[in-house]
Amino acid sequence: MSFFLPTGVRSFFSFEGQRAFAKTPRRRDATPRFLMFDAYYFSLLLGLREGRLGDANRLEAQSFFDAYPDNYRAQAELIAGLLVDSELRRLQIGIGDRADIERQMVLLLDLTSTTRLSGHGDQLLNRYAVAGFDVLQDGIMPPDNLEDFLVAYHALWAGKDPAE
Amino acid sequence: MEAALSAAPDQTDLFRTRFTRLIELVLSGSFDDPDVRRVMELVTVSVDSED
Amino acid sequence: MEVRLTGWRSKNIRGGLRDLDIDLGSDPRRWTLVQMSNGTGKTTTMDLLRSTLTGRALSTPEVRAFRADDLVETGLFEARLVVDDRPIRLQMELDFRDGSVSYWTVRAETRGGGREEGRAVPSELRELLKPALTELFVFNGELATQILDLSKSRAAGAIRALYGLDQVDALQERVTGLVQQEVRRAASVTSAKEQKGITQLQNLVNEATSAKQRLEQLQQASAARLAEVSRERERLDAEITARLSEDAGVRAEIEALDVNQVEVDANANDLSTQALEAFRRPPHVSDLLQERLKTLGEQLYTLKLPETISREFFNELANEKLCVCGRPIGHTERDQIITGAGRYLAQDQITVINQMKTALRDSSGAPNVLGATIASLQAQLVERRKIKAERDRLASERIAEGDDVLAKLRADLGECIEEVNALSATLERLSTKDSIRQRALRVGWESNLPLCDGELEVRKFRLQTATKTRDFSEQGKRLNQIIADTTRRALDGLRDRVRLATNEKLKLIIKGEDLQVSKIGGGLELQSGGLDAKAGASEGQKLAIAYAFLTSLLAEAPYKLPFIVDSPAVSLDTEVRREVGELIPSFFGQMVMLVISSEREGFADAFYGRAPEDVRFLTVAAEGGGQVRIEEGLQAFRDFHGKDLTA
Repeated sequence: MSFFLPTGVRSFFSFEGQRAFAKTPRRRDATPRFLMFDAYYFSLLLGLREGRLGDANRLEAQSFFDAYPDNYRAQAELIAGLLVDSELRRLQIGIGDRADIERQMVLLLDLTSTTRLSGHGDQLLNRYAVAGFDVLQDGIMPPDNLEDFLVAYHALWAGKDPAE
Repeated sequence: MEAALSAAPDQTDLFRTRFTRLIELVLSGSFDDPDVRRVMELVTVSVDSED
Repeated sequence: MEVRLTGWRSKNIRGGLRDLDIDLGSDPRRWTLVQMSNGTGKTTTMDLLRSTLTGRALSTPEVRAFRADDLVETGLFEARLVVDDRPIRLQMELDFRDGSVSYWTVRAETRGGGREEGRAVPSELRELLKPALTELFVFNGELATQILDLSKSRAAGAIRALYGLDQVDALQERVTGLVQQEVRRAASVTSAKEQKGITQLQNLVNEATSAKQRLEQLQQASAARLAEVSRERERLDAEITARLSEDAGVRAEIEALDVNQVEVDANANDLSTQALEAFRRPPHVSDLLQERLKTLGEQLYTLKLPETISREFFNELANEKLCVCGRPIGHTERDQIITGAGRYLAQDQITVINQMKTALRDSSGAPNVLGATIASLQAQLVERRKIKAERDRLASERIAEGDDVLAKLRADLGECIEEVNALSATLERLSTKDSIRQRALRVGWESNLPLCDGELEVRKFRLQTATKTRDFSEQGKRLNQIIADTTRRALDGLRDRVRLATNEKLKLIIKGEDLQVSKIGGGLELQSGGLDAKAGASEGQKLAIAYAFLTSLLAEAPYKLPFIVDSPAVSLDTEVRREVGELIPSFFGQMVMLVISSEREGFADAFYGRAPEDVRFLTVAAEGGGQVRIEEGLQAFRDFHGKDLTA
């Protein structure tokens, strides 16, 4: 299945086509490239942390990517694991509740998919990204370069206000 | 019966031929919309720029 | 195409038509005279013939009016024709009970020769069997003079019908219909089909075109200016640096700052690359995530999820004869195994969970490493800001020392940067294709080039559609004009030919008077020796004219039709009758004349002398009780003393 960006992500990171932070004049040096998938993933992590599902209507109409890009392929099982974990929390399935845990995993996982997730699982991921993006917007001003963004994003995980 | 088909002099030969054929078809009862449409498209009209 | 009448029959019809069958043979003679007394159904026969040939609808009272008596339930009338040597029988069936009528056809082509419902006539014949035409060749002699009557437009109508000009009317309707179809289709795009609307649409296109030009110019100008201003900025930067470097000490400081800058930028790049790499691996992002992953992994081990044994194992076991423990597996055991299997996970479900378990177990992160990287990155950013602040400070010092030039340069640089930002913003508004950006910047087609392009295309398309529709409409009108013109000329030509032919015949029939048809309008207009003589023409003359016209009309046609006439000469005086009797028949092909006994003198007797192979005489005599007797031959014909049965 596919990954859908929450609406607003593109303008937040000033994506012009595939290039992020497009409003800032391009520096001639070798700043690392910030992918659209990175934007998605950074939002997703926050959503999984909060354990909240966002509204499916706030996703873009068309998918922007159909599988994990190269940089992320190795993380597929871990992200799947985080999804399972968040879902168990959200549905308040207890630690010892073997049958329910097994049932959730069967519902969310699919060996044949490159994301290791079923269609249902993929869609949940997208909705977690929506919720996560809300958290992101609340905490950080739209950045105009990568370095400032990375520093500010890290602060969201440290639980402190982003350093000025 | 071929009535005097002195069709309008300001039309092309192609139009005249197709028009004659169309009339023949009409009289024998075997004409069809696409035939009529084709002949219509062949009509040359001068469209004035003011009404 | 040649059509001939080979006979007719009737059943259960009133008058003398209860059971009548007139057979003219498959190769009928040229002239047939059928003598029928009044009351034996002469008029009814003509009526029925006409109805059967045209297939017209009859009202219930009309149907019932044909009924022979209260006992009969259905009635039949059949007209037999031969069309280019192919026989065809047209039947009209009357149901007196419900007052309905149905038509049937018997053709040789029909499989088994059975009858088909409806009038299965060849299309050419169908055209000829229209009422307007049929009443000309199944002709009521007593109404012949109506042809002369201008107020009843039979003459012109006859010509139109015979030559299919009414079909051309249908063509004109088709043309109009096609134009309307086109207009409807175009209406979904635009409703402007008239010139006014098209002018408006053209204006809209022009508006969008100039908007596009304007935007393109603005874009070019802005881009050019941006390049200029960027160069200016670089120049100013260089000048400022140069100015500062005039002082050897300052120069050294600046160089040091430059070296620092390069190092800081490189470090920042490395660090942000490292950080990004780390972020992309969830366990490295934070302790929280790492905890969760580890905990989940442990949970799965603790709960022994997934089980190592799979559903497939049990399904396969069920097919074995012996269990793994050695005991035999019978039906009962098999059933239990299969039922139990459902409780277990399938193999690939197990596999994916195992994969996840492995990943979780192997996952180890070092969030504190990321933390350190970020801290270093932050430090570099701070350092970068410091370097900038240093540069500013050096410049400010010089300005404070009274270096107005430097101050001015700095001010100019500031303005430059502002202008660069403004121009970049303008260019973004002008050129962005991203619809989300467009909405965010609140640009419309008048301020954004891609949108303007789109709008221009839409307007051009509307204009094109409207123009095409308008043109097509004009073409339709013109074509209909041409068609109308053509038919008018055709009609005029025909009228003239028929008129001349009629007049030729009149010269032969009406000797002694120069009676000519001067015009065929609705009716026939006459003149005699230069004077309008219609009012004065005698009944006989009128009749003669009518016949002359009819023959000319029918003779001109590419079809040969039989001429069936009822009382052709009854109103003529004997002398004219003779003329008519002698001349008229030679103008027709097959003629069938229904006459009453009083017409024999003068008219019918003109046939007595003709060759027997050309004429046939039939006499229908009433026998009372609705029965009739058919007598063949000249003798019977002459000798017949018709009892005129009053109806």
